[in-house]
Amino acid sequence: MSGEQVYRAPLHRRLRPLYFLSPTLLILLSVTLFPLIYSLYLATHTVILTNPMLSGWSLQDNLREVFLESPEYWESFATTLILVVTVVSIEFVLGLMLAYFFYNNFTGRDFIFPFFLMPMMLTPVVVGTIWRFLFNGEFGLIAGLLKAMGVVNYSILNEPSTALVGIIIADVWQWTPFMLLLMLAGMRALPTSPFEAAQVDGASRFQIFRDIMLPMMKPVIVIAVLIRMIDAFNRTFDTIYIMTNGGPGRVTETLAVMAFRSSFEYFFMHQGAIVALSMLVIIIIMTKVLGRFMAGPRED
Amino acid sequence: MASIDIRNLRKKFGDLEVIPGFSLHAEDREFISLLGPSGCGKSTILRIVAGLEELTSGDVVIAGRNVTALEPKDRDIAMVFQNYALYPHKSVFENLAYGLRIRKRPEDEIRKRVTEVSELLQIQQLLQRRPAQLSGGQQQRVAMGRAIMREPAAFLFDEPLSNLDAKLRNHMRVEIRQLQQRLGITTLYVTHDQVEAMTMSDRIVVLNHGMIEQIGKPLEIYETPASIFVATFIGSPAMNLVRVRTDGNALVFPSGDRLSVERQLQGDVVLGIRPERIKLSASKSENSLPFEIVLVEELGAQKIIHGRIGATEMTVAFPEDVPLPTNGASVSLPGNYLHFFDPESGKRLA
Amino acid sequence: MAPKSRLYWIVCYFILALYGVFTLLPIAYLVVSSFKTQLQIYAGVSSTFWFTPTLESYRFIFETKPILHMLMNTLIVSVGSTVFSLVFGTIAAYALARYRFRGRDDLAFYILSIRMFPPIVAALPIFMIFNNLNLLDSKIGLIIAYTSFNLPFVVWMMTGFIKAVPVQLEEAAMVDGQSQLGAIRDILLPVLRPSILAVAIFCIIFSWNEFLFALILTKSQAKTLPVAIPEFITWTEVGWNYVAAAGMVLVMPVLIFSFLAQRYMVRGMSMGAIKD
Ligand SMILES: Nc1ncnc2c1ncn2[C@@H]1O[C@H](COP(=O)(O)OP(=O)(O)O)[C@@H](O)[C@H]1O
Ligand SMILES: [Mg+2]
Repeated sequence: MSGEQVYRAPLHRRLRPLYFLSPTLLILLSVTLFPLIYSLYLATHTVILTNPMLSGWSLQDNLREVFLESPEYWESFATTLILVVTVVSIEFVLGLMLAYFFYNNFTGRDFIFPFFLMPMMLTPVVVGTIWRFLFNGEFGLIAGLLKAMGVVNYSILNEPSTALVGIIIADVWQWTPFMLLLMLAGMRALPTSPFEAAQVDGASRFQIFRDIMLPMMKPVIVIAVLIRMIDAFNRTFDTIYIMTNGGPGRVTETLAVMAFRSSFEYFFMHQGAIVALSMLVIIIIMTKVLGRFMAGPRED
Repeated sequence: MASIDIRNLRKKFGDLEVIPGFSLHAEDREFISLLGPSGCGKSTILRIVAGLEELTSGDVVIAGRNVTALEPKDRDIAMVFQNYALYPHKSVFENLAYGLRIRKRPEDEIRKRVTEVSELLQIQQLLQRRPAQLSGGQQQRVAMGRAIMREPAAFLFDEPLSNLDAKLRNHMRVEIRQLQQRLGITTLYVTHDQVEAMTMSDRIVVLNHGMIEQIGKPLEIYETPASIFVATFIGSPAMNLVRVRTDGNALVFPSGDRLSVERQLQGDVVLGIRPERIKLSASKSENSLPFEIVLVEELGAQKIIHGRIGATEMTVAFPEDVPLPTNGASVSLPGNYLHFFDPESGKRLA
Repeated sequence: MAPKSRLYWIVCYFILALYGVFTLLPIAYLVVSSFKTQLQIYAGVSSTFWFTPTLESYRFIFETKPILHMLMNTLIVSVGSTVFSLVFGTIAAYALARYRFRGRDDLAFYILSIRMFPPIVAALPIFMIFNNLNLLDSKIGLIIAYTSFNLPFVVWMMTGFIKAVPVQLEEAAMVDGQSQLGAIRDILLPVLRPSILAVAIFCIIFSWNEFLFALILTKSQAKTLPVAIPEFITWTEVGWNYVAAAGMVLVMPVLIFSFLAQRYMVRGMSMGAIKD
């Protein structure tokens, strides 16, 4: 084939996908790469906005300060872990159960369904506000109900032992609908013939659910749980900010809240950067491990 | 004059060479089928001619114009896709009219042309419907209609009938061929169905792994297949092939049966004979072979008889109205219908 | 499936009703509180839903705070960022869905994985750049930020949707005499309209509800309504009726909108989730 003229498409035609991708890539690179580099700079230097005299390379000092000198980071780490695991488990179980009921045909189903989805549309800040006032010890509805049961002026969010429970309730309230939506979509996409076959084989309703339906839904479950996990870890900020701002003490101060307060309240920029970067590392590990653990070997 | 010239076409997908070298000249008004098994590169060649796929090297010339570097829109071709690719959000009328609208033709010309074409294809009553409201056969007609709207220099068909049921397919086969002859438009027709290729084409190109096994008129290919591959691909039921040893003027079957032929051959050869050329009879005659009947398939117009010569399986097509010999059948293989192939290369022995 | 027993239905309805109350009660609480006076808020559980409604709280917040201004900001920023992320995201998705090139799958994965980038990591650096670029407290700044948050979602969803449209539709248009961009405009985009709408709705809702970056990046000119909510609380811890009224102004448009567009959202969401 020597000496043969090799055809080259015009350059502008070969570069077309690059043109199409470039605005998106430019934007995404600038909001990930630059912050990453900048955060790395902050993390390795002493940067305290209120005290510009202190500066210079101090990675070891910074790491020691955040991870060793005080238990705050590890407290927040534990709080975040408890929060994520609890809300995702509860939301998954509730969402799956509700989806199973909505999978049935009954009159009024399509009418009531959108009402069940409402919480996930609401602004998280407003959701936090509603629950803050529901839990308010003086006039809140829940405190009122507790009072009727004999508990006087109990403020769930003001007690260190129950504040996190209050946050969890608000999160479950807002995001269970998301699980419901995904689970229901997953169920409706399943073929029904395996269920019919199992029925003919004499399986009970529960056995069909556990042995046939759940395994078939695995891909959707994996995705839904992963999405919720990432969001619960990264984005449960607004509600906490509004409901407790990390308090009382630090019992509801998750890593995200800690990073925010370090940077924007105390202006210890290097601390905020280290906490934030540690979140990035955790989320990468979490998705890798969980993705592999839950997805198992690729099945397609 | 709208001939199509494909010169030294090569195509790689990454490191995978799909078309190692392909040349074809289609005369003006000619109907050429590209026939081959799935995955052999038929669609790739067609899409390169259409300009939908970039080629690795070579040239495509349509009506004397080198279109290799042109976009599909500038090639003056029309294409019918396997899944029809009708625009789902446009009515049948607008589907037909789209090509002319792009060219900014006046509204009354568009109307006139749509009316002509829809009458030609008998889809006048469907013009206001959406594609989703049409049956498979109707969609196929609309796709045809869209192709002929502009009277292009060439038609490209990519398995246009493979989604239709058998009856409709037979019908559309005839219709497409008539239409093409009436319009006189040069056509490349991709199919994996040898019946379509045989019945519709002026010439057939048989492809295997992106290479041409044979080019010829349908009957040439049927009568003198250039290779074992072509021999088995064309004709139904498929040609019988037996590897035999030669001994002077005789072929020695694995069973030891001998058949004398007029040709001088050497070493092992593959003997081929079409089922419909084999003569089956009750009496044993000169140069006939003992044949044991295993299974008979009744097709109405003919019987397909599966049997053995010794351990060698052999299929015979037998006319319906002749009674089948009950026992002691034998077959004779007429010398002028025998094909010989090289067992190593698979090529026909001259 | 086979008929279900009476007990099954009782349990099913009971749980649905219980969860329904749990879901609706807080929203109802927000609604009624916004129509109360400060005094009525303290009136006790028994009169939570039994009181003489008044628009006093709404009048008060509109008079004392630039609610309308902030609402307009929220709207402009939401719509603006949605338009940008849809335009950029859809053409990027087109490249990922329709072309094969080296590194394509890695690129698609990179874009998706940005969805899990903790916003707090970007918060401070973005604050610093915007400070240098004079983009603090500007609507443009917020639009840029929200566009980047929406992009991974848009690219991911639209790639799936575009892949589901047979490429032959565009090819047919090109053979018919249309250019590639013309085929996208005439054929692909119209076919994708419902999907684009679904994705757009999610983008709008996300931007409408966003809080962290609005909090960091705006002060007064470009301040959006979500940022104002916590200010209402510190401002009047006792005035839950005012906070509720402001909350209503913020969430009602989304609720009404999502009820109207519900069909599209459920469809878009389900399709996106079920495809790999
Ligand atoms: N875009 C592509 N990228 C990589 N390989 C391809 C592509 N399109 C086709 N192929 C490969 O090229 C070969 C020929 O494909 P095709 O022309 O579609 O075959 P046919 O139409 O004869 O069935 C097949 O092996 C197919 O897998
Ligand atoms: Mg093909």
